[in-house]
Amino acid sequence: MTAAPVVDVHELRKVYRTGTSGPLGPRRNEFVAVAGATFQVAAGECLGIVGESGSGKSTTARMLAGLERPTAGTISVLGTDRSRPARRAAERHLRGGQLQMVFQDPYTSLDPRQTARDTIDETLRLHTRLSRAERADRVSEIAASVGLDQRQAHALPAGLSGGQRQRVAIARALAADPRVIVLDEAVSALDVSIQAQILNLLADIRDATGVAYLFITHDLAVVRHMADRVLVLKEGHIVEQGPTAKVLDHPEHPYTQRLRESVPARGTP
Amino acid sequence: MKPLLQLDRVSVSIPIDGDPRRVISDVSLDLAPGEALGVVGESGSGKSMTARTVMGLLPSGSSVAGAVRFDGTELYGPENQGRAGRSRTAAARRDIGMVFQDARAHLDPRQRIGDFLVETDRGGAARKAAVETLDRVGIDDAARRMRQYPHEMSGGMLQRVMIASVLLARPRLILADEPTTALDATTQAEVVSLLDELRREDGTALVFITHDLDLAATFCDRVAVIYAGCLQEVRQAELLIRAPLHPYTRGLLASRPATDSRVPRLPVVPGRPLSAFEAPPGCAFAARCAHAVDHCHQTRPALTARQGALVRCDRLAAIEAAPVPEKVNRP
Repeated sequence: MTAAPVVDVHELRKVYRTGTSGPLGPRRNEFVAVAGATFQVAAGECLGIVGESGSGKSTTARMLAGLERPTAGTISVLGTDRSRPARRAAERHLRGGQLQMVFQDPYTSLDPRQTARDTIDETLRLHTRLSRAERADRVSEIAASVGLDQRQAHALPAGLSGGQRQRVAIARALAADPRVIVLDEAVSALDVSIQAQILNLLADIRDATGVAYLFITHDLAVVRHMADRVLVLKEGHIVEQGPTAKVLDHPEHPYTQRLRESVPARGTP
Repeated sequence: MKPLLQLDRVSVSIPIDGDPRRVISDVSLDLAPGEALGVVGESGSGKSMTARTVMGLLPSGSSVAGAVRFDGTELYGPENQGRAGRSRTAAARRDIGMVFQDARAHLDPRQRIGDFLVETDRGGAARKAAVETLDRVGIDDAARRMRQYPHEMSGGMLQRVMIASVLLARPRLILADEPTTALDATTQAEVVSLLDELRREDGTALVFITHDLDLAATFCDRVAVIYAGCLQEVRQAELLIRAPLHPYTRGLLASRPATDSRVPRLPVVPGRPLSAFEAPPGCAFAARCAHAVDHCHQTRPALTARQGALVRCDRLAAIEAAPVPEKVNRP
């Protein structure tokens, strides 16, 4: 990596404190969700994060997007520190223009009262200075680029299938023209045939815009297809990271080996 | 050998928003005693409804046409009306066990694992059998686990408890509806191989319902691919994976990325999966198929025996003569 990374994460930690009161008075429990993660994402790169439930992969994503506050460590995106919550609206807008997020569940991550066009337009209003007419053109352009037709663009989420809703969520992220998109299990809930369509769409978008992806998934096949590099998380710790083909074909850590062996191999029952 | 389970031209409609909607169209399947059959499909394909039809778990107001026979007993039809008919089908279904996707949702959170497993019979023998079965499904320290509540156990552990509860009834058929989909990859592999191993030991037949073609093929004898409520291809598992015949099966396999290699671009099946009630009169898959011609849109093909498989496609000869590259579709 010669150029400055677009995402630079150093010793990131997240500890949840859960107080319980027992017969012996209040007790303090700590749950370490992320235990000191250090990684970078280069411009235009796709970094895969794989792990099982409780590995801390979603917590890491949420800290990057500013949805959780890190307990310790630093996060810097495009050279701007975002380890602490944004204090002013202007700073929040700046951060939103740098990094966007797409969630797993296209059924709950969209406003049920907003059409696809309105969803995209709202993001454009926040993140650009385009006029109303210019925005309308840009909305059409973005909707077309994610494969939404006229009817779908004017439909409410309830009138769209899961795959179409995920296209709207991707369009919303693109409208901010970010340099990084965090995709948290963004294709996991989709049917196999739809998943392939969305994976191709994400590849096309990366080719066209040079956006970097932080691609979070439990699915090794999907990460093999998408990611240039991968890091493997287990119980909040990065146990292995490196080029995707190397990590998956020659896993060094026993946990990565186990993950790899758990995937049914095609044609060898 | 006489089939243990037989579906003969079964069509099912369930009420959706007050209207009867077709969810299964003309499904015929035989399952031999001790055989494992994978039923693979996407959402709305009717794969879960097939299991629910066998188990008698359809919503009220549903209608079933065709015959469902378990061990020679008709599960639907006029002879099952009235109390005597119902008790006869209930008795037959006692030999069928079902494992669901979400074990936690099927357990009472206030009930100890042991009470769930022995339920009515609180005698020492039942308790002993429960402990032995928990041990068999790989739960350590089974006697202590019997006293625990569901919230004290992980998802994978609870799915083992569900499997134990099914095994305790000594079924001749297990219906497993996406039993490992909600589990982590490493847990999934453990639970699937456990289910397979115990089923083989006991000689129990299995219907394994999943969206994951690769997973079904790793341990099922045969795999049935279902689309829009309609069987498209039924074949020996290994052959189905290695040399799929139906364009939909080919599409499903090709569009799934591999863990050990990478293609520059995934071949895609355009459009989205349909439910039976949305499917047009001709071939249900025609609208998404790269090989479809006018004939396909007008006439629904029959399930035809071919190369040791049952396939519902009238274009197979043409496809084999001149395979169309399936990688041209852009989303």
